[in-house]
Amino acid sequence: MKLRAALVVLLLAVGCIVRASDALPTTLPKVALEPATGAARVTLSEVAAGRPMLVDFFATWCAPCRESMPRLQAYADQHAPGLVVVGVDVGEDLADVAPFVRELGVRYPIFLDRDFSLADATGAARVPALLLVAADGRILHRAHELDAQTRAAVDRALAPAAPAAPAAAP
Amino acid sequence: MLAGVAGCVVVPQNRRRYLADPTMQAEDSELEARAKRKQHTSREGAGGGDGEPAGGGCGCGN
Amino acid sequence: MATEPRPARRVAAALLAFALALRAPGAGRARADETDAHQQADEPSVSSFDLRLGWFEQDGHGFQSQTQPSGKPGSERATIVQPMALFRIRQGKHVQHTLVIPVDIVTAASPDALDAISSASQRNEAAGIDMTTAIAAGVNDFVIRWGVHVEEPLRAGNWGAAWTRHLAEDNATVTLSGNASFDYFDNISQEGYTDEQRSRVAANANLGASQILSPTTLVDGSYGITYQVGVLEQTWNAVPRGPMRVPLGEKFPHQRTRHALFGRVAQMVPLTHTTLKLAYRYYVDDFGLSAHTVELRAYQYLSRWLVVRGSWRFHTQTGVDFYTENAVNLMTGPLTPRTADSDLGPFDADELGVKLMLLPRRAPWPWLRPHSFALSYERYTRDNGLSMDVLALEWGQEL
Repeated sequence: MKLRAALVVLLLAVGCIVRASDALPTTLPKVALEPATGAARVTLSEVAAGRPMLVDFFATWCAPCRESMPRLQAYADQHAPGLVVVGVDVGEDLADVAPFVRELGVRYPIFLDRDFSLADATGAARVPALLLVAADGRILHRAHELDAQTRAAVDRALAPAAPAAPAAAP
Repeated sequence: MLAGVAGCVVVPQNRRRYLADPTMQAEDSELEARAKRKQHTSREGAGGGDGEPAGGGCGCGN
Repeated sequence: MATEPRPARRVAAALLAFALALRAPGAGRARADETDAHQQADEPSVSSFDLRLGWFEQDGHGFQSQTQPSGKPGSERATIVQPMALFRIRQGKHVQHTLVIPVDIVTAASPDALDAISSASQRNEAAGIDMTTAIAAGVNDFVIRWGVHVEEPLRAGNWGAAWTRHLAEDNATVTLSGNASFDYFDNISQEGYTDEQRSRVAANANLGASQILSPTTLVDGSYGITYQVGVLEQTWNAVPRGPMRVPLGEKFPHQRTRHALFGRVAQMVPLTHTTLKLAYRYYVDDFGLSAHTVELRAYQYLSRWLVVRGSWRFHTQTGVDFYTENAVNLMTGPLTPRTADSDLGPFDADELGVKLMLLPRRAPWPWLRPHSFALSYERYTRDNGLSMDVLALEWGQEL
């Protein structure tokens, strides 16, 4: 009887029902972030200035981030200036982030989301997390890495719009 | 019941900075853990409980 | 005993050469060519290695030592040098192999040291290899392991597997594992005579769980059961029968069932950059031995890249039912279990230690960042006449 009760408690302890998550936003929230350069706070939409943007949420303690960020820098170099790539560090200070970014050779703009405000608003609960944002601010694609689907989504976002059909002759 | 309530704590992955700290890992060094496990199991009659067998693999009766 | 070739040393050298041959140039650079990246991603490459050199100075007395006239505990003086190497081999994003090569070099005068046999002025070497393959598959992790261990009178093989399920958005895990080992050794008598081989088998199963309690608190626990069958005693150990009487050989039951229950809590205190860990294990078996073990570790960051750790471990055990320092008091017949092995007697043991660690990737100098170093010292003392000083140096590098 005691063994049965202990097993039930153990199962309860590890079998917690995952909370249902709120619906994810479809547009990039207008949350102002502090740039790592120390300049004035700015929203990522202002940084994108009407261009498609890849937002990479990362942290210095995240081992997969350490591997993915140099690849993302190379990708940014290939697709500049049409695609804007930015990094958003969550929960840390500049003293942690600056040497990390310098060591990895990352040159795309870095922003600090110390209180997780943008991460929470976009539903990015993990690191690394990639968001592809269209020029008009719609969130087109979410991923954890720069995989084939993400690259294809970027290619579609960068493709020129199809020309409109000519008006019918009177 | 306390264990059951604790089972419902959910810390999002992006807030695990301190849990990912090197000092919070189960072992500081895998080699140190192996050496200490061997040191203790060949000097004491008890063993196991850490995912490893409590005996065998050595020329000892422990 | 006649001088024999050193097979353990040759095996260890060959294995180390093999492992070093796996070392590949660092693969951490970004590759703009996606095709090259995919092709190279699944090729195994050494991602990091750790080396450890341990130095043990042991002193004490015990009946398993043969250096004293019968009826008195002999010297257990021993020096043990223990080099170890570990290589992590990545194969794609989801597979990691870990290769461990431990070597023991024991210089002792008839002690019951870590892996020594009883023989005057004996230098004994032991080596092994352990291979673990971990596969990450979403919310499931799988681990497969195998190993071999060789020393002069003993050959041992082990294998095992584990499955871990991640639950509640990776806030909890449950792990089920099993291991088996087979030991095959020379049947060395008290006089050092070898005439045949003996064997023993062990089977083990474990159930473990971990749970995040807060952004700074983690708990984990496990239960393990081990069943051993075969020749479980050390065939060369002697049990005294009082002064002027020839000691008898050690005798164990043919099987042993062992239970261990373990729990640990880790708590970080961000304000003071401190981490505390408290662990407890309860052990009991059907030899009549039960034990409690408590360990406390405290970590303090001295800087972003330097940590000092203090540790204290206390172990108390009752001793097996058939422990005796005079077989005449215990035996009712020639097959009555008996042992005078001080490792299986009742005692309390204390261990105090300090360790200084240089963490990887945090040093202020770029040339130092791929490296980690650690220096540790521990003093282990048993109240039934054994003590040990352990000094260890560790070096690791990310490639």
